[in-house]
Formats: sequence, structure tokens, C-alpha cells
Amino acid sequence: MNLNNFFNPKSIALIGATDRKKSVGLAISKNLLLGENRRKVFFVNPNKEKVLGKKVYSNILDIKEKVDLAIIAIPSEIVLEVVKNCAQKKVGAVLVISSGFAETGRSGEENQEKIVKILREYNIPLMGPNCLGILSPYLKLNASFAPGLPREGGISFLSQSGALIDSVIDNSLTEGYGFSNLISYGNEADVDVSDFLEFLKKDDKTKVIAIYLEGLKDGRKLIKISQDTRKKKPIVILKGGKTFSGNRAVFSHTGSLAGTPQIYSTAFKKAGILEVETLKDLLDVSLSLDWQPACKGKVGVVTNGGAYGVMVADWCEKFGVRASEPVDILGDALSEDYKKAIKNVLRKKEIGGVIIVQTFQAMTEAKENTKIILEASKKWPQKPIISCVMTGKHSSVGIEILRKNKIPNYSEPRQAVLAMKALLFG
Amino acid sequence: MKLLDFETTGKILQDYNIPLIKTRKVLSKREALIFAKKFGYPVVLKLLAENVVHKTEKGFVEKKIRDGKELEKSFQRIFQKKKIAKGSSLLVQKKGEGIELIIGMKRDPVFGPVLILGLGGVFVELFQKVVFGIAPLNKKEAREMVRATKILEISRERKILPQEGGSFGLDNILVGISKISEEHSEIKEIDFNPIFLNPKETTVADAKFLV
Repeated sequence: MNLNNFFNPKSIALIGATDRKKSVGLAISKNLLLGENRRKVFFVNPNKEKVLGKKVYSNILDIKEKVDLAIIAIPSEIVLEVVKNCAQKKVGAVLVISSGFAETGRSGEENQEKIVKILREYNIPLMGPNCLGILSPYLKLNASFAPGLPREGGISFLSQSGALIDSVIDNSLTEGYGFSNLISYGNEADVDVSDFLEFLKKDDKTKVIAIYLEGLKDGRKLIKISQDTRKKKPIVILKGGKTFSGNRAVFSHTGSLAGTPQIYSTAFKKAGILEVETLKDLLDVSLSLDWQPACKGKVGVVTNGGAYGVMVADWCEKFGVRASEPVDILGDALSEDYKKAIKNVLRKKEIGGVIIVQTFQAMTEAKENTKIILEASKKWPQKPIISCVMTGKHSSVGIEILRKNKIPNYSEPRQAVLAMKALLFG
Repeated sequence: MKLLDFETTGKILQDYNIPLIKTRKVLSKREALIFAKKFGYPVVLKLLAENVVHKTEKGFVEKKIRDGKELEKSFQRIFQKKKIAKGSSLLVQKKGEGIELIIGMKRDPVFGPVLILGLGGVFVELFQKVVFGIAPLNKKEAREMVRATKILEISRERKILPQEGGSFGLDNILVGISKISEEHSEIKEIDFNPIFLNPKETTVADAKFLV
């Protein structure tokens, strides 16, 4: 399945372009125009002549040029007709934003199936329906009604929820991480999460794939493709909807026992996918997997606060992370002490990475310490460094500098250890 | 769904190297006594009928028959209790010993054949503690399932089972049932319950293939 027309279309037609205030159509229209110097953008709407100063076509068939991607954002009742036109036009791919399909019930599902049937006849891949759209920051592509384009980075986020993507975009703007792609895949009427996964395996800009998933149609396909993809890049998943619905006719003990949530976890393990339990974990882990290299040995710990050493050690044990005894350089440690300790830890062959904790006493040299950490990351580029500093007034400058240099920082020891665990997960 | 018959079940178990505890289908009290004499007491008597799934709950199992006299009494009891069609067959089986486990398979709509391993016997629904696996399952994955099973871990700790017991043949059964699920699409669910595990051997005492 060729998904290039979703990720890098050279021409896009938006059916449902409008300047009606607060509408989805207006949001998508505006977002598409942000990339107007990179690709051709056509607006289609039989009820408009001009939108945002641009000419509007009545019908996609009136467009003479080739259309790589047709985006449909109109009421569900009229989508089928428009899809027929898109098929006739032989567009490269169709993205249906509109809701009101399989997610609403039987008649919506039937309508959805009709759309799939037509597009399959013409061999045109369909994304959605009922989705937010797709964003690719590197290509200045915002084919969605998200509030804006996030910064560039190595995370590809595949989400069954469009709203979640929007929240994550907003969060990324303050927390400093970035994306290669954000895909809200909706109802999966045609192209499904596994197809996207397969595509992302070959996407050079993607370093880590994060997934939010609720329901799944073809689990075996996901396992197979994931097993293949994870050889190249890590996959992290958060499963939503863990309640067990067990209303099956039972003929045997086995039939009554098999519970869905546990099966998903078993499947993810088999697939080589790292499963996390919270949204925060998903984002924290993805950030580290993007910014830092894999950890190929024991984890070292350098700290100027004994309590942190204890907490980090606790979490290492809980998560099964092999760590060496924390090196406590004591509360009055200066940057030279940090330099020595970090060097002594990172130069050891059996050490694969280090967690560096800082607490701020009167004499602690925030700026200098930060410099030391940056130097260490340059000196040992194959060994991941995770900073563990509580965010606060005096620590914020240092954290910001670390962040700009792609060194993750977590206030909470649990998150620092979890991130390291993910880096070990290869 | 209906239960696959005794002969076909036996053949499949044989084809996939799944060890069944010594069992014989008997048509008379005499045959049962001969079996018991040959293989030794204690034995168990079970009623074989396609629509009887949970044997114990309907009183179709006579457990722990220690000698010929008890065997005769059990025969009488079984024929008294239910309106059993004439020519119905009984199974006489060597009584299993050790920890009772369950291994099963069901076809999940999302993931295909899903395997389970856990505490078996009549308590299986009570405790509901099982480990899952997804077919196709290789030896390594099967061993991981065995390692993850709490009851086995505890048994090792309590020295009920040897520390270095490997997977007690459970990995073979798991791989076997995984293969069956892939090669026999007509089989919808599988229940091996109980499986008796003791330091000497691991055997299936009751095998159900639902088609």
C-alpha cells in the first residue's frame, strides 16, 4: 500500500473549504495554506466563490491538474457523492475528516463500507473517516484542524484519538520536543494503524513511534509488522479502554477466562512494543527515545543528594534496570566533583548510560554543572545521559539549556529510570 | 459448538506428541476391571458424551477408586444417577497426581489463537490466574509462559517441584496446542484441564477439542 500521498502530497484538494467562523473547514483551509509554497492547494466548495482570498472550485472534477491528496470535510451524508468524484478524478489518496460513520452505528457503518468499496475499486487508499488529519512538520504539512504545527523532531505519533494529538501538540510547544509526523487515523475503514507503522519504518525522520490505541481490528497484522519495524526503531504504546467485556457464550473454561486487556499486553510483548501505563509515560519515554542513543550496558548514577540515589535505586529494582551503586558526591559538590564523577562512571566499559541528579544547595554551580553535562554527552555520544533535576526557579535555566541540547530532564526519579529502561529495551 | 469424539481427540494428541494419561474407553464393568488390574489403582471413571462438557458438575466423574469393589460400586452409581443412553461409553483412567494445571486455546477475534496456562482443576474459574500467549508460539515463548506462571514459581520455592525442572514438558504441550490451532481451523477452542504435573511426569487427564 503506497501511503506517500498522505505524507508528502504535491497537490491537495480540500472539499469543504470555507471561511465560516469556528468551522472545521476554515481551520483546515488555513492550515493547508501554511504550506502553500511547498505544494499546490485547491479549495472545493459548490457554495463558495472565494475563501481566504483564494479561488474555489465547485467540483473536484473542475480541477485540471493532478490531485495527490483529496481531503473531505463535509457532512457525512454527502461524502459518498464527493468520493465518487474523487475516484473519477483518480486522486492519489483520500482523507475523510468527516464523522458520522461506523462510530455512530449500523447505518453509518454501511455508508462507510460504500465509500471503501468505491475507492478500493480504483485502488485509492483511504484514511479515516472520523479523524483529525495528518501533520508533518518537516514538510510544513498540516492537513488537519489542529491548532498549529508543532516543532520538528523524531517522534511519530499515531493516535486513534485526534483530540489527544491536539493536547500533545500544545504540550510539546512548552516542553520542547518535536515530531516527524502526527497521524490521527480515525475509523481505519481502509488504511489501518499497521499500514502507517509499516510506512514509518522507512521514514528517515522518524526515530521513535508512539501509539495511542483503543480498539484494534487485525491484531496479528500489528504483531507481525511491529516485530519487523522495531528492529529499526522503538515503538511505544498506550492502550486506552482496559475494561473487560466478557459476554460470550461459554463452552469451556478457557473461553470464560480469556480477558481482553491482558491479551493486549501479551500481544504487545510478543510484538516487541514497549507498553506504558500513562500519557505522561508515553510522552516522557518517547522524548528520551528521540533524543538519546540506546543504552547498551549497566546504568550509572551520579547524585549530590543521597535520597535521590535511594529513590533511583528503588525504581531501578522495580523496573528491572541493572544499575550500579549510585555515586553520591554529597550536597556541597561543585562542578569539578561532577566532572570527575561523571567521567569515572562513563569511562567504564560495562556502563551503558548515566542518570545525573542535581539538587541545589547554596554552593551548587548550576551553570557550570550544565556545561559539564553537555561536555560529557559530546565526549560519550553513544552513552545516553538522563538528567534528574526538580524544576524550579534556579534550576530552570540549566534545564532549558539541557533540553535545547537534547538531554532529557525529569523531576521525578521514576520517570528518569523509566526513560532509561526504554533506552535499554532494544 | 460440540465436543470432538474420544478417538479423534486421541489421534490429534498423538499426532502432536501431547501426553495423555493412561485412558481406555470401556463398554463394560469387566473391561474397566481389566484396565485397573493392568495399570493399577487408583483410577477414575468418567462418562463420555458429546454434550456433557463439565463432567464433575453433573456428577459424571467418579474419582479415587481404590480397588475392584469401589469400581463396581461406582459403575452402579453412574448408571443410576442419569438417564444414560444404552451403549454410552465410559472412560477409565489412571488417577493423576500432582499440581493441576490448565492449558487452553481460544480464538480471539483480534489476535487469533490465544493460549492460556494456569492453575487448573475445578478452581480455575475461581482464581482466574492465567498467563497468556499468542500463536504462533515458539519454544522460547512457551518457556517464558511457564516461567511467568505463579503456581510453578511457588511450587519450586516450596520444593514441591525440582528447582531445575526446566519447563516440565509444558512447553511442548504449549507449542503443540499452538500448532494444532494453526493447522486445524475447525477446532474452535481447546481445554486441557486438568494437566497433572509431578516430579516424574506431566500428563493431560482431560482433553476437550470444541469444533
